[in-house]
Amino acid sequence: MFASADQANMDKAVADQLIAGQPSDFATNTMAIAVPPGNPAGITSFASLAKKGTDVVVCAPEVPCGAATVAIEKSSGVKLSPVSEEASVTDVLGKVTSGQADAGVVYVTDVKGAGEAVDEVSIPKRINAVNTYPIGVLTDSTNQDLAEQFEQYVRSPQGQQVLAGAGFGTP
Amino acid sequence: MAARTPRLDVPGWLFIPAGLGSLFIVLPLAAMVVRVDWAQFPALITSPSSMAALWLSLKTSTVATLLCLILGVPMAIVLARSQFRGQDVVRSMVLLPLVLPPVVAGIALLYTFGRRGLLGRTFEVIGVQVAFSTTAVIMAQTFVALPFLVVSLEGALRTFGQRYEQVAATLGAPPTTVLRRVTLPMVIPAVASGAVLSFARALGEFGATITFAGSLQGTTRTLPLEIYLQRETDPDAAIALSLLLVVVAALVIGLARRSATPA
Repeated sequence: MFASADQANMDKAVADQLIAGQPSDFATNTMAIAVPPGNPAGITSFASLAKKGTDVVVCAPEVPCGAATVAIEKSSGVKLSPVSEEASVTDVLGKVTSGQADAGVVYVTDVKGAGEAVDEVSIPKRINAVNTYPIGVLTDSTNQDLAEQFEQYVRSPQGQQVLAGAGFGTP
Repeated sequence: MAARTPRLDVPGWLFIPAGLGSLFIVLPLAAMVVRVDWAQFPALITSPSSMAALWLSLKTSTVATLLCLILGVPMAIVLARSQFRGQDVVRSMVLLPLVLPPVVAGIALLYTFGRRGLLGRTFEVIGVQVAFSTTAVIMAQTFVALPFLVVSLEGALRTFGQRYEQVAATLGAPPTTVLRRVTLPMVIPAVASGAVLSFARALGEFGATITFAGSLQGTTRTLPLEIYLQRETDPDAAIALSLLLVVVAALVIGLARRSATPA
């Protein structure tokens, strides 16, 4: 089966007829600002990331977390000039945990997963971008039944509770 | 039968593993060439982001190679031609980047020259910002490429031995003259091939760069980083750029070979 971190990649898989039936949404994720512990650069909001001299790291627009960051820039009208556009969200987080960057725009779940290594500055719902995670069974799966059962489990209250614990939202 | 000098042939069976080894290296490259979307190829490799990445790669690799020469030649000479306590340890440490995974090299650099690193404060005080700059890319490349130059040059120096240097010294030449007139001219080909290896290694550097320098078009996003990013969305572009990188590397090695081998 295939669980995607964004709709675009699932659309590609569906277009290439790799998915049996219709994919369904199983989780949502929003963005947050990760800062080194103690927030040395004094980041208070998304807008304060645009302050001159602030080293902010984001994902490249080509990857899902970068697309979400661009969406927040649009909805908030704040234009960032990042010092680095990483290919993966873990690389963004790495730059923050090492103290190399003043702030990084990552998923809420990444901030949660990083524990004490970073502090969170939240982005209000009004401007935040919501990524929906779809899941689907692959057409050439040798174990269709089991895959479908797992999909149902992920979407069940039990599965959703696990996901909520990691910071995901319900679709 | 008249006596003749025996021809020194390599045993025939040696060609089998040697051929297999060559195939193992060439086949993946060929597979890549087959997968290239030739209709799109020119457009893919001449896009602004590709050109920026290629240009940055060539620029940083050239500077890194120069740094390797400036630092590596003295290192090789000292290691090959002098004796001091702890020499073996120093040699092993210097060669360490050869075996370190590049990501580890990046982490090590981060905790040395990064903002919170060992020397980061010092750098900040004197007004040098290494973080997220092209300088950081060059440092990462130099770090991983330097041992290639040192190891090949030190090997050459040991092979040549010290006969000529001793003769020159006996004739009254001071150490610097011996170095300039005897040692260096003798190992110029080894210096050249070491520099080529370093350049090739710098050109291909990825892990240390992405860990230490970041990734921003025109500043830190070298060709390997651009390939890694394109792979996320546009596999065709990634393959086209990979081929470009292979061609550039092959050109550099080929040209250097030609100029290093005496006619």
